[in-house]
Amino acid sequence: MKENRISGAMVTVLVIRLAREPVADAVASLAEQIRTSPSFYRNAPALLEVTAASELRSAEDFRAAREAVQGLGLVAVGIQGGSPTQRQAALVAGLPSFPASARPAAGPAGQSEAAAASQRPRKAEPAAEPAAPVAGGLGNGTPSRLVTQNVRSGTQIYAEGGDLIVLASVSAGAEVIADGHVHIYGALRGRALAGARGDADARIFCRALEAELVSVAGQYLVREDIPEAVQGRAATVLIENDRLIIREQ
Amino acid sequence: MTKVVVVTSGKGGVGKTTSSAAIGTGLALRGHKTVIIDFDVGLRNLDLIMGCERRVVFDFVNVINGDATLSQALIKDKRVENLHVFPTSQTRDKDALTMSGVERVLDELRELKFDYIVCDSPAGIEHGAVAALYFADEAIVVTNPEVSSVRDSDRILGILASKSRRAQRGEEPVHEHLLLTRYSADRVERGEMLTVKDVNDILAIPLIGVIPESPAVLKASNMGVPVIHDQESLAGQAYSDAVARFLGEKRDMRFLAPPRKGLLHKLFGTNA
Repeated sequence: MKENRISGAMVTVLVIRLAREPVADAVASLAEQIRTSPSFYRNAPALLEVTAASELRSAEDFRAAREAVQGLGLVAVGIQGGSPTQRQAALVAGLPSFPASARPAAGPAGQSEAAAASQRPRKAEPAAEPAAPVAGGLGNGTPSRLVTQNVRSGTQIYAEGGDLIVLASVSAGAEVIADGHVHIYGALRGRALAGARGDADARIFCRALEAELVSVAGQYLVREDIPEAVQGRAATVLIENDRLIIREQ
Repeated sequence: MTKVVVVTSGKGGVGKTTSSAAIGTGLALRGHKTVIIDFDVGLRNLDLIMGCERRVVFDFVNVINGDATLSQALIKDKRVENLHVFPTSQTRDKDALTMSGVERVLDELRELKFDYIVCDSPAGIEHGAVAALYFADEAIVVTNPEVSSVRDSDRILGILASKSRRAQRGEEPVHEHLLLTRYSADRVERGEMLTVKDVNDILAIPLIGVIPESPAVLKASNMGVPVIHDQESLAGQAYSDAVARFLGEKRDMRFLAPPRKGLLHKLFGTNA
């Protein structure tokens, strides 16, 4: 017999920080950002951070905001922050209140931006922004995955939402994938894909590059495209000036 | 304690059955009570290699289905004390190997106080191969020094690490051993075959033996006498070494370099 029960779960979710401006303007600026990686955002659940958006007061306002967000292809599932009145109105509009994430917002208040609550790997944030979170660090909630054994042919390993660290080799016919970086402390003979959800800052590091395929944020090189000079060498694969390059270490 | 040993490879034709017969025989020659089970349902060969094909009445599938008892189906080897052969069915297919049935048979063999149960796996990575490796404590991965065989062995090592009972229960992993067969030192020297080091780099598991390519293997198969009995042959000696290493003894690797040819060999060729 199956048991029905309620249990807790930790999930990664987008947060849309609304600034003190008409919602329509905010949506326009968000649309810009979403165009850079539409597949990442498609139908993604999102929270509205409304502390700065004092214009949002009535349930009607929140319904309008929800529809505007839907127009972007995102799905608003609740709000964060705001006054008790805002929270009440949002609830009436079907948007429950979520507790604020433990880590303080990286962006200055008043700026419209989409960033995942606490867990999302850094997404091309301006260099000037202080303390851009680095995926894989312990303690910031980013789930990095550690593999201590050889990744054998036919095996696929995916580190969702963070880095993948392999302490041995990745065999031909195996596939290692991470939303963040891929670190391989042995030979890479199979396929490695970093930035699987479009993060162009992700990199692949390995001690001996003999890969069948390397890919960062959807750009890829197959074995034939990998220069002979770096074959078998310790290397980093990264995107520079929008091009996937291999740099010998 | 009974140990279940699977002899596996992924790829076909690399020498699984020859190695199962030789190693099973070698274990029995060293006084361990051993049974070799043929898991290759539908492609029965172990009985031929062991030279007991004329004495098969009941088989593995009969016992799984409860049509025969274990003692009716086990064939006692005529040459070696403590050695039994458990043939499989030639007429059924791999689906006849139910996991619960295999488990029951292995448990009965444990009760009979066998030291080693050697499971000769079919090729492939499908049900038959998984059934053979699922209950294993030790795995002997048979590999030829060429790329497709090495890759398939790598694949089977992945399956051992994920689909075996030890893996699924989170117990200590299956002990893996590499056995390199059909090794031709001449061809390695000419760059036509992978070296031991090449294979080790990729598979990265302990090597228990390198069996040189030898006409003695084919001769042994045709005669139904496991090649380990032919201690004149290099292959037979290499299998003896492999069995010793499997049991934890230290022995230097032999037969890695091409044999030095004397004048007579050059004139008349060699049959070693």
